[in-house]
Amino acid sequence: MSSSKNKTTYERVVEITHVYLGPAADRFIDRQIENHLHKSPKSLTKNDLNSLTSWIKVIVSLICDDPDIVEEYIHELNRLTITKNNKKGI
Amino acid sequence: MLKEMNKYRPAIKPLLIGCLFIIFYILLIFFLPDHSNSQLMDKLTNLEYKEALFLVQIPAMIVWLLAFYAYSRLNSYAITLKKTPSYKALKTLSKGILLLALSMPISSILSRFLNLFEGYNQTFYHVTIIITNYINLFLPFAAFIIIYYSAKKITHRAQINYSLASSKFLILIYVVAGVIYSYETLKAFSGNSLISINNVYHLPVFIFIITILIPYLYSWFIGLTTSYDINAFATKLVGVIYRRALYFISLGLATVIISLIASQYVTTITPTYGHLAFNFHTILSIVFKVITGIGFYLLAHGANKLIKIEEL
Repeated sequence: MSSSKNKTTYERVVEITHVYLGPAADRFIDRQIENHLHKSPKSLTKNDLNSLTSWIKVIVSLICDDPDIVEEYIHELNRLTITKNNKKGI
Repeated sequence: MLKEMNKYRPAIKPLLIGCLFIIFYILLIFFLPDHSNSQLMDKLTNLEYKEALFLVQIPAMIVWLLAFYAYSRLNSYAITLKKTPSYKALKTLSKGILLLALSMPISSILSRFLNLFEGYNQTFYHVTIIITNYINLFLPFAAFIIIYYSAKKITHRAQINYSLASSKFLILIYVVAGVIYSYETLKAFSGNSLISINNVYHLPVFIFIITILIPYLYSWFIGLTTSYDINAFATKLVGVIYRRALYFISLGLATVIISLIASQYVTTITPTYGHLAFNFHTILSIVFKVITGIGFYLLAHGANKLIKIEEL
C-alpha cells in the first residue's frame, strides 16, 4: 500500500470524498474538476484545492440535507489545503 | 429543443404508459358491462356500483403511477452509470421494478374482463379465473426473480455477501406465515375430492399446491431474501451521503416487496376476482396498496438523490 505522502493531490481528494460519497467518489471528483476547473483530474495541483473545495461545498449542499455532514466534509478538504499552505510557509 | 426532448423521453415514457393504463382502466370500470355476483349489486344502482368501484380503486391507480415513476427514476439512475460496471445490474433491477409496475394494472384490467363473462359463459369464466390467478402469481414472481438476481449482482460486486440464513428471526416469521397461508388456502378445498374444481381457485388441489401454493411461497422467500440483502448492503456501504440515498432505495424496495407479499397473502386467501365488497378484506387491500405506494415513492426519492450525486 502506498503511504499518504506518496499520493497525488487528486488521490487525496478522492480518498476523503470516498468517506462521504462511497463508490461515486472518483466520478464525482472527476466531474467537478473537469466541469469547474476545466482540466483533467490527474493534473489537479495544490493550487486548485481552494477553488475545487468551494465548488464541492456548493454541489454537496444540493445533494445532502445534513449541513453537519457537508461542513465535516469541507473541513476535511480544507485540512488538506491548510497542510499544504503550512508546509509552504515552513 | 429536439435534443432536450430526447433527453427527457426515458423519464416521461413510463409515466405516459402508467397514465394510459389508468385511463383504460377507468373506461373499463364505467363502460364495460359488469355481470359480477357482488352482493352490493343488489343494493346499489349500476352507476352507483361503478362509482363506488372507481373510488375504491383510486389508491390502486395512484400506486400504479408511483410504480412507473419509481421505474423511470431508477432507469434514469442506471443510465447515469452507463460507463461503470454497475450499469447492467442496475438496469436489470429497474426492469424488475417495471415488471412489478406492469403486473398491477394488468391484473386489475384482467379482473374487470373477468366480470364481463361471469354469469354469461361459465366455461370461459372458469378459464379466465385460472388465467387471472396465474398472471397474479407469475408477473410479480418473475419481477421478484429479476430483482433478486440484480440485487445479488450489486451486493456481489461490492464483495458484501449476506444471506437470509443469518437472520433466524426472519426465517421464523417466514415459516409461521407460510404455514398459516397454506392452512388458510387449503381450507377452501373439500377433503373428499382431489380432482374437483368446485372451489374458489377453480383448480384441483394437487395442481393448486404445485402451481400456485409452492410458487407463491418460493416467490415470497425470494422477495424477503432480496429485501434483507439490499438492506444489509445499504447499511454496510462506505460513503455517508451515498449510503443515505441508497438507504431510501433499499427501504423502498423492502416496503414494496413486503407490502406486495402481504397483499398477495390476503387476496389469495380470500379471492374476490374484481368483485366490490365493503369488508375487512377491502380495507386491508387498500392499506397494503397505500404502503406499496409509499415504498415506490421512497424508491423514486432515493433514485433521485443518487441521480443528483452522479449528475451534479
